[in-house]
Amino acid sequence: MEKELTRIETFRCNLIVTNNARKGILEWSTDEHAFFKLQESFAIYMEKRPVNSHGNTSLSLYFDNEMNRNLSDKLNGKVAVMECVLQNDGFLATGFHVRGEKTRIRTNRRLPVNLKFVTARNNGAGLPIQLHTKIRELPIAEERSEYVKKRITSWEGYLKIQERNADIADISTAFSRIMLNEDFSRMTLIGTNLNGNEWNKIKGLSVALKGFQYDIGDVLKVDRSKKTIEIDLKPKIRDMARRNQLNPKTKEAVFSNFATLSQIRRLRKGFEDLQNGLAANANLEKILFEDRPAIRITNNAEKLEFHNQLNEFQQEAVTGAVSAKDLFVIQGPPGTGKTTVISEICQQNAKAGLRTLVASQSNLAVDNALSRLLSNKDIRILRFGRTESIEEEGKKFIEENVGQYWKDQTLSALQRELNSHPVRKEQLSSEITTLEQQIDSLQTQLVLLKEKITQKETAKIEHASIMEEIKRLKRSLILLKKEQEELEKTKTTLEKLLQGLHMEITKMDEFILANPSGEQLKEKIKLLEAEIEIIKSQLYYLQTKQEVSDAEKIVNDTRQKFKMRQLKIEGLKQFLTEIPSMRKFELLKSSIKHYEFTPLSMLEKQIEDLDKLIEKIQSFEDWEELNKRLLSAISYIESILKKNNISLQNVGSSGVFFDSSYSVKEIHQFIDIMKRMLTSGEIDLEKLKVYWEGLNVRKKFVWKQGTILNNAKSDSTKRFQTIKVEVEEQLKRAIIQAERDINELKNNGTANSEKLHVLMEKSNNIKIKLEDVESVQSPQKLEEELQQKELLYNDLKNTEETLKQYMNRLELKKNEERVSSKQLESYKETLSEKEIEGKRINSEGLEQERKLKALDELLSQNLEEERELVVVEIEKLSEKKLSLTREKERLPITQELQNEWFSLLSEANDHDLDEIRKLYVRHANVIGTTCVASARKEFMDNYPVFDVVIIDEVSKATPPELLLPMLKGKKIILVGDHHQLPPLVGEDTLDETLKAILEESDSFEEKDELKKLLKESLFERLFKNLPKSNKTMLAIQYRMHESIMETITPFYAEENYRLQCGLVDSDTVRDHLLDSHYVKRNDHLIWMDIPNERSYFEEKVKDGKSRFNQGELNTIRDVLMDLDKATESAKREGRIGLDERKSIGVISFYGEQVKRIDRLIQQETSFKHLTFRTGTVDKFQGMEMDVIILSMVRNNKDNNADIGFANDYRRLNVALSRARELLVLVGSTEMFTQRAKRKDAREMYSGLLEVVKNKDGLKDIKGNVIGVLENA
Amino acid sequence: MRELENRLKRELQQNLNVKIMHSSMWSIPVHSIEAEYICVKRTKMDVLMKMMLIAFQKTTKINAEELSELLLVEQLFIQDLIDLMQRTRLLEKIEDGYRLTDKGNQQLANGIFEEEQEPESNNILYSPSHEAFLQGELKEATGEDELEVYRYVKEGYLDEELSFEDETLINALRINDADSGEGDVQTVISEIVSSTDLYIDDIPCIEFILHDKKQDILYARVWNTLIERWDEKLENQLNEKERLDWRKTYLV
Repeated sequence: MEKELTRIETFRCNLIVTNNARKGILEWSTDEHAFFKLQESFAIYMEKRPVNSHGNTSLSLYFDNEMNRNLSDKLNGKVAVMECVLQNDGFLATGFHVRGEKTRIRTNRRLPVNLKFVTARNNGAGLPIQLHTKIRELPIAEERSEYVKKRITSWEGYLKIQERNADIADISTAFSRIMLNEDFSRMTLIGTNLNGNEWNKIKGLSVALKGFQYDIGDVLKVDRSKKTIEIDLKPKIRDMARRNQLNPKTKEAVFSNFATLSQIRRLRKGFEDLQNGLAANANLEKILFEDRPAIRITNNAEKLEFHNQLNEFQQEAVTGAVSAKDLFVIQGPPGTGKTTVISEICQQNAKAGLRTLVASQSNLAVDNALSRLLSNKDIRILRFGRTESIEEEGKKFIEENVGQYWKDQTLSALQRELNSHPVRKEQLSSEITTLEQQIDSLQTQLVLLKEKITQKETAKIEHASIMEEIKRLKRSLILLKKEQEELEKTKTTLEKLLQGLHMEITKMDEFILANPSGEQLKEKIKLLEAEIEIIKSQLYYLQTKQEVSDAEKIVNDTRQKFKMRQLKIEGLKQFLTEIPSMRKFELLKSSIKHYEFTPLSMLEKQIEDLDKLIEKIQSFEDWEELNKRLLSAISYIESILKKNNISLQNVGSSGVFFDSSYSVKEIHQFIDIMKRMLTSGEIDLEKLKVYWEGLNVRKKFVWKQGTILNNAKSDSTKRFQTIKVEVEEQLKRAIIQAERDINELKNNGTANSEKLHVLMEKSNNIKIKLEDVESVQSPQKLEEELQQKELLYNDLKNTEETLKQYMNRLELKKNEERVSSKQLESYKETLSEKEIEGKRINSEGLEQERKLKALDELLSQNLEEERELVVVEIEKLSEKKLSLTREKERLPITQELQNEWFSLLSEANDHDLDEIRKLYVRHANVIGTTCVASARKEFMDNYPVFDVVIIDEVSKATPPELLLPMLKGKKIILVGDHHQLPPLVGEDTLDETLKAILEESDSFEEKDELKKLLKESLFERLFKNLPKSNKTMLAIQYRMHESIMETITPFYAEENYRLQCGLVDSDTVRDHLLDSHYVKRNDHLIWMDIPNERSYFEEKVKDGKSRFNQGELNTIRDVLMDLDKATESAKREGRIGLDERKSIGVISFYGEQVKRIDRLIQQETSFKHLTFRTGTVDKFQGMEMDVIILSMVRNNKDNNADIGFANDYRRLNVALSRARELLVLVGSTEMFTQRAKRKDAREMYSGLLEVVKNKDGLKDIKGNVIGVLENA
Repeated sequence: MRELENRLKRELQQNLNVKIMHSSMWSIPVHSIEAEYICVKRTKMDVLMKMMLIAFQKTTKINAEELSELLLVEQLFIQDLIDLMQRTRLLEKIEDGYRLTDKGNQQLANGIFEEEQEPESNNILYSPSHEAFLQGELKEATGEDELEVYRYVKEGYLDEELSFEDETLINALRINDADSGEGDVQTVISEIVSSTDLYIDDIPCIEFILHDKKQDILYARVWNTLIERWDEKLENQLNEKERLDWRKTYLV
């Protein structure tokens, strides 16, 4: 605990105190400031509560009453609790009260912190962010507890089973007398007077007799009809009985379930502790209840030195267990050395200064495990429990005996030491001499090393220089390579060049050879030139001829044009003369057309405009006519109106229509409509008035038109004059232009005639020159021919040129070739030189590297470290020598002291050892107890927490039982085997009991709950779900002869490892040394086949459920007598020591059969060479014997043949795996392999039979081998 | 003696299933051994602490580790006691080890103070049939008929010369309360001076052969008048040696 506290952080924080809290504080202090100044800081456990109604985090601060000395003094050791609300800037204390000193302070749900409270106003201390974070991460205690509570209720069923009859008040009865059995182990009360119901309840209860201080034992059996109660007596009471002191005066017995109830109370308390977060390992609840056990994984397995000889699996188990953080699970099939592993783990823990609890469901297993621990002064074993229930092996470790145990251990160690006294001096001297020698040799080594180190220094320098040299060589090599490459390149280029040259030269030579010589070529060219000349002339002639005809045509054209021009000028002149006299515009227009005169565009526009104007003027007549009609209509209407005396004063003033425009036609239509109205005879004057008005409006419009038209008329005349003038102007200009054209034509004509003339002459000249003009071909052909000739000519010319060039260049190239060849030769020479140079450098490099390697070797020796080591070693040895020397010097004193110590200790009595006993208990580091006892109050007070809790035979305990020791362990190691029997309730397994309860139970809810329990085995679930690093199976067994082991290997077939036999030679080390009728020397596995016949059938006891089988008993007797004889002869023949007895276990699935076996052995037979241990299979779990005889009991011919207890493979596994050398099954093969009701059971036993048959072990009841004969 | 036999019979017959097939009386020889011894009176003092004080007195140049090796005692124990003795100022730390203070020297002187007592002697009872010392009071012979000797007594037991380890004798004497303690002082046997085989008494024993009808088992009960209890050892000897014969004799 103290160690943990040093790790707790201290925080300074602001605290505001409400009046309510202040009230609480003031009961203990003058004010809160003084109160919180009691200590520098307070050790506090902070619990997070559910959020309050304002949504604030509420906390309860528990002030540790051990750590806070001053506070604790003030509060008389009581515990202060301060209720707080968490605020951003500190705590707000809302309540303060003080609870009893036993108030639980430290739990896994609370955060341990040291707080310095600052209570001054506006202190600005606030609340550190780290603390905020920690509080945020803290689980809400109630919720966590609720979760655990919910999960743990699934275990309630186990308690229910135990509670079945427990919840009853004490029962008492009178009795008439008592009866003791043969060995005083049991007592029977006779003549009891229990009530009907009470008979069922008292079984298993503890019994007290009036007048006796303690319980005398537990109820074993009741017989209602005989009114007897059989009691299993406690050892103390047995002793009283022997002394004949068990004579109760008052004949009254009281039965109480106190023991059971207190056990259940402890188990329930375990539940509560887990709920309240009191497990030593905060992770425990997760391990137990989460589907995938939430464990912390360790990656680095520690390397350990083992004290016991361990196989690979055991080593793995120990290493795993030591390295694991929370939990490690070991599955240990029978005989695989679980206890050795447990012992080794304890030893490792002791070495590491850790305290280990070894717990198990049964006392036997605890004692078994403790007794195998090596005696070693570093291991201090303490056995905790009721002395009477502790086995002999464990007794020496109980508190009252550890003093003695320690004394014995120390004395024997001392004795060994004393024995060595006489030689000790010599020993020391020789050891010192050896040491001196060692030191000397080391010194020499040191000198050598020093020398070597000097060498190394030199070597270092040399190394550096060689490195430099190698570097230089490498550099030059690189350079050389580059040069070589360069040369190589140049060489290649040169070679290519040469090749090119060569080719060129060849080409030239070939060319020169292939072509005619220069003279011939010249001649050919001349000839060709002449031909070309002729063709060119011909072409020229043809061309000229064409030109002549062209020129003639031009001359003619010009003449024609000239004539036409002249005619036109004349026309235009005529037109010009006519214009002034022209009065009509139409005439002018037609004249323009006539004389083919094209007016310019402006003029043309003017003409068009005038055309339009004239057209308009022509409509003047229509308007005039309309005017007349209008006027007459108006006057007519006016006349009518006048007749009707309608004044026109008011009419016409409206003028609404004034701006309207009308076409002539419209106005005519208007008048027509009016006329029609007038002619129709009905004259509406009002309408008429309107008409009149309309007419007037129209008249006005017509008049307006008239004015416009008149203006147009005068305008047109003006425009006509202007046009005429313009036409004249343009005509004049046209004439001048035409005259100019004529002159030009005249000049052209003259020029063309002259040109023609010249051409004619030229043509004639050529004609003369050509002589024959008729044969001249067409110009196209000539052109083609010319082209060909010219191409040929060019070719020849080129060839001539090339030839000339080649002639010149050939020499040049040949020269060049010569030079290049020479150059190439020199390059080649240089190259080979360089190559030789390269090789030389390389070999030099290799040489240097060889040297370097040698140096490297020298340098790589870590001489300095070696020297350091030697120095250290020398120091160590010197120290040892010193200490030995001191020891030697001290030897007389030492021996004197040791002698004195020995005699003192030998004489020591219990009182003298009292202090030792206290020291031993205080420093005990391996403590053994049963699961349930680990929750006893005095144990809890002395040992609240263990570093490691090892639980053995886990499969035999119920989860609530396991929980008790688990709660105490920071680390938990579970050892068990779920293929062996599960927890037992009385004589039945848990499963069987559960099934029985299920049958009785009416409540479905209860049934459901119980069924769940049947399914889950905590150990199995953990073993299956844990990661590989946290579990292991011990797969090598050392107990059984290989043949016996084979019977149980199928039960482990599904595990990762096959069960193996670790015995090197089974036949030798598991030789039972017997040779008899029933058992041959090489037999290790036998099945005595009981016939499936009436005389061998099972029977049921009258007043109970249990069964027995007389036929099997008879067979067993025969076998035992045979074995007794065999042992005798083995003794005679010297195989077995004369004083030895062969140890034989006789076991059965049924208690009644065991009882009868006991009787058989004790009453009916006398074996001089055998010693026995008998029991049910269930009781034998955990034990081993040389020889085991298993009586299988069940044998009948019922249709639905049940084999009862024997159905459970786990029970069979236990039964088969008890024997070391010889296993004899006694039972009916037909019954078990064929008649058994359940198929899986039949298969299981058939498999077993196969194994037995393979070993030739199937025998009839006379001891004859079955099967061998059949095979033969 | 008869009275006793009858009383025992009655008690055995309380068990209705049991029938007494046979009863007989015989005797076992018991040697009275006179052991002369010397006791010493000494202060009660824890043995390890005393040893440590002695050691530190003899040599101051020893540390806890060395002392642990020397005494073959857990270093933790040594360290605890050193701390205790330093706290109680019996011991003080010096350079290489520890030194006794005056108080320590005084304490040790008290502790090793032993007052040798005058030699004393006491008789203890040895039964060859049990090969053990028995605890009990020799009674006056009742003057009945000479009893037959136990049929399985060691042959030649009369001539046998007995010799015992001192330790065995001390243990036997111790059980007889030769050791005693009072306040800070205790008296312990330090030495056996001599042991003398004085005489042999015949201790009567009453034997019953019982048959439990219900279980059909036969067994012996032997009342030993010296130790005044049913003698398990003798019963077992008889059961083992005779049970099969009883069946033949009494049941067939």
